[in-house]
Amino acid sequence: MTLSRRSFLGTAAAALGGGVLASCKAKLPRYLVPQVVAPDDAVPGIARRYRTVCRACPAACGVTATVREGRAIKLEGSPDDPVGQGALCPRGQAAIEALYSETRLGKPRVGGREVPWDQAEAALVVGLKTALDRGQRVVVLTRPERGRLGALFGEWLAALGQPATQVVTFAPMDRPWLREGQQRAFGSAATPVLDLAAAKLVLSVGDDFVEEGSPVEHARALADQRAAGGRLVYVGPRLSLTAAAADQWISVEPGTETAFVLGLAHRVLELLGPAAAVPASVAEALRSRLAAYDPATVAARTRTSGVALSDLAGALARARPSLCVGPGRAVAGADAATLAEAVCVLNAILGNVGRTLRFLPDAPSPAGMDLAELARRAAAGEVGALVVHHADPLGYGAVYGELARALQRVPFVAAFANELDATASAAHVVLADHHFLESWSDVPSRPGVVAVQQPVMSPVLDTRAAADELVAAAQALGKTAGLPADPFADVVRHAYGEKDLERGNRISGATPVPVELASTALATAGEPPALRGPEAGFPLVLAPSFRHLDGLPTRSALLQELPDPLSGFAWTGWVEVHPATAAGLHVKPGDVVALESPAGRVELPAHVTTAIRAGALGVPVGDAMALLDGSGPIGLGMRVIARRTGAHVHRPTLEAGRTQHGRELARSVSRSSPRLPERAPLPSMYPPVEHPDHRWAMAIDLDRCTGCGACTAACYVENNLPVVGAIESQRGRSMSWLRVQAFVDERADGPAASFLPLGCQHCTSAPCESVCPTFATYHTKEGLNAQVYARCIGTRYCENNCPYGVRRFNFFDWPRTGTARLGLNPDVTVRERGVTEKCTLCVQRIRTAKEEAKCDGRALRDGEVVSACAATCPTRAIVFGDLKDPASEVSRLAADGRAYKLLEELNTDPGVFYLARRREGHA
Amino acid sequence: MRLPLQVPTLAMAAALALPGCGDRADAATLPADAAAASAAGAPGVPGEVFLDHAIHAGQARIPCLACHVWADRSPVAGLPSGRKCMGCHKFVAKDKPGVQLLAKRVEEGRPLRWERVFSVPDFIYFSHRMHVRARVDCKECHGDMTIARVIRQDRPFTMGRCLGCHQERKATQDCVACHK
Repeated sequence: MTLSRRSFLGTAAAALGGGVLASCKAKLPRYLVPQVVAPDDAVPGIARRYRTVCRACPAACGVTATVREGRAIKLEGSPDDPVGQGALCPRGQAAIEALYSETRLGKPRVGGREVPWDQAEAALVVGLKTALDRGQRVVVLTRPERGRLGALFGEWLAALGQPATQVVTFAPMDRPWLREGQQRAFGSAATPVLDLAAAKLVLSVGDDFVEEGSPVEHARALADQRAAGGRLVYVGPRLSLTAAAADQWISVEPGTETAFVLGLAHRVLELLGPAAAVPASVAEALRSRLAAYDPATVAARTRTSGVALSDLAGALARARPSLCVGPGRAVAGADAATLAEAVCVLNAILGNVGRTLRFLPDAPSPAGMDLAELARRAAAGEVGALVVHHADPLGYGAVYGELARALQRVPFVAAFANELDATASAAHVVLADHHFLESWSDVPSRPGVVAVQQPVMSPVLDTRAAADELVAAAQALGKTAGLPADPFADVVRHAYGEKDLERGNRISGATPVPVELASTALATAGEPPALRGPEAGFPLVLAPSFRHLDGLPTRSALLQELPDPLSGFAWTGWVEVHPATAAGLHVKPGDVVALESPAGRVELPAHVTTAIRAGALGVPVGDAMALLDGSGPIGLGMRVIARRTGAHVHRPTLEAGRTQHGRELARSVSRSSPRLPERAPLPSMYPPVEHPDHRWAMAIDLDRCTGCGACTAACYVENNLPVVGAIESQRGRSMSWLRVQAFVDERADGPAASFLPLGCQHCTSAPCESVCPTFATYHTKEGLNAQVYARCIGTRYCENNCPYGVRRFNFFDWPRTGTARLGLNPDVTVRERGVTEKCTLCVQRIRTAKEEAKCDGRALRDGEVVSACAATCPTRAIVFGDLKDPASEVSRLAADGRAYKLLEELNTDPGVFYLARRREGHA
Repeated sequence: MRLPLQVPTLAMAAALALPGCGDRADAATLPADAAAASAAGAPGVPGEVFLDHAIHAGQARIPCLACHVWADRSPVAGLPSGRKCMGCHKFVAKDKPGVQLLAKRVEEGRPLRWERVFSVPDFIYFSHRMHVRARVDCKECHGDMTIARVIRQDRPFTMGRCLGCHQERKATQDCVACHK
């Protein structure tokens, strides 16, 4: 009797395993429940896409939400949006996780207990009524809401008989020093718009614009600028992602950045002479005010080489136009406004104003109460009721300590929130608000642009719109004068047309306003105040991070699990210590260091790196918050004492190390001659592989990649990757299909960081395929290295034999329970314990696009299939396409002189290739 | 013959590899208003209403796509909405208890639920529209509905069967065409 392998397995399963296998089938729902009334335009099984706006940070990028069977499963940038321009950052990608999070507030709470809505509403009315009856103030404390919702807060207060100005905006990560400096330099409060892409030379004064502010927009502009031959010079104490993207990093002593920029202005004025773009009288006044900042003095004070300053000044004077940006959080100390003023002056002298730096008129916003006034009035017992709307001042510890103490004197606090944060926990009434993907609103993202936020699905939980709750409370109090009678959703919807909703925004345009340098510019520039804290302490440099865009450690498990691009740390904060500093502290990598300031104490593992200036300590902003005292901006300004605690943590990282050991994995070429040496093709023992129709491939331009990790986050959401948690992640069991491998290599001119987004290379001669005993992994006719989970028996031979280390093994089942299930992509299997998985080049997207093309009776077009990583990449560093199509973008890039394949000497012939980074002074 | 020796090992492997698969959906009891209607239909049907395909597709000669409207437009063929059923049943067979229950439910805005008969595992991507476009007759997989009173999956939905047809018609035999 001959028994084939398949029939043997079938018999065996039927005989004994049958019961087990049959029970697996029952995982599918037993019943089919059709709709009572089917919407005309919704087809089950087909994705629908809606435009809306991401509210994960104040940048407000326009997004396209993919909705399957009535549930949002993915966000992608909207190409019609001038801010995000079709891309999205990791934080935006994690919004889907927040939407279905099991910790999300799904019911209102009164006194810490979940209650039905009518009770919560009654409690709100009672709280407000008591305050009004006592003649006390009602105040709204909100995140920035500059659209109709912000206006409604004012109208609501007015209806209650309160001053409409009692709307306090809480924006902890705002950078007020930029406005103040601009006001001093130009006497204007207009909104600055940076045209990074047009500048031949960008000088960033500690401004980490790749990480915070409007990161997607600025990272894109920077990549375009550098691709067009522009340069970026970064001045600051820490090699941030922005500094890593720069062509030159000038490390200055923390606290002396103002002197450095004034020194630059001094030297630039000298070089330009009468060509300076300011009136002669102003130039003369500036010369006398800057007389003390000659290069030698400045170099000594900032502990930089005088050559660097002079060279930079010369380059700025030659590059027309250039652009100076900042100061950012990493350098913004107590004199941040003066530094900002100095940057404005530099821009004015260089003639950048009106060219790369334009100003748009701002919509006049009513002068509201500020946080200090709220704290003062609350402390004085004047505030009877406070309505908090998505603001968490209590989460920031001592930074808003005064406000936190004052709020204890407010007899009634109601909080609209999505999560039970510190402020919501302390509130008397918590009103569960919709997620931004479930509600209507509008966001003026910049002058002349209003992004329309429309719901893409019905609410997951028992939540209600904040605006409607406030209006209902006013109605219950019988005070509705001036309030809209319609639900807020209708108010917003009727304000915009079909076209606006389809685009996701309404662009009216704005005309730049002229500004001129004030004759008093820099008149008040003096010596910067010394850093606060113990004299023996180290300057604390804040590191902006996608995890901490609101300044607090993120609640998102996905963002926690994404390793920090530079340090590689996941699930924990860290403190960056220069090797010289570490030697003095007797600290080795991974040693837990206690940091102490007069405000507080934190313990963090050490990341010993040359990416921070010797003598300074770098800490991610969310982890550093407990060390700040609130007397200056959330930026530079504190000194902290560092001590080794004796504890040690194993660094949770997927990589073996931080340097390339000279192997040139992330390669670079010189800027003057951006070509790699030609290599002769290697002989192969294997027969040539034919790809008859398509050869899917991916090009990753290392010159554009900033290491932000948006690709990784997008991959998690698109491909149902599980978040494994701190412990498993520390064991190296993170399931990430695409990691951003970072290298920090020492070069003659200092440390240089390179980022290498690394997923399955889809080799033509794949080492994993030849060792799989079950043929679970194989090479498809379209060039994919495919993985069939149903065939995989988990030998992990493939993982062992993969030279790129990109295969992941499911050590466990990672069940998605409750609402988290709703966010899964139905086109991608949720893998079981015991199988290996890895990047599929988003085979589900290829499949869908091919199906669509076939139904339309046409061939696939270039750009029709876009992998999730390529779609979200803020800098368009990743390009996906078909190498068999000679006209495709990816084919064009494959012919580029910078193109190379990883570990080419192994002759695996990958379908993923890289374009070498252009570096200055590269040998 | 070595087979008997190996079988227990394999069964054990299967049992080890597939824990947690046994969370069978609860056999929910029928809502009260459905019990009577169900009893009036064929015995042994656990759905809420007994629907006779032999009447709809056979006697009335309603084409499959008239009710399963998305079969040529989507990977999912879909079931007709309650309102779609009422398009005919406003006039037809109003005396039948099943139809009366349907009318009541549509009036209340509550869906009827149907027993699932055909399914492929959830790691499989199956697109109805590609098969309809390739002129695969519905009955090749689903059987002849014009004579079926009680629907049963009487032909195997196995990979072998899929591949047999794909080979015959020279359709794709790439694993990842179906394994998602």
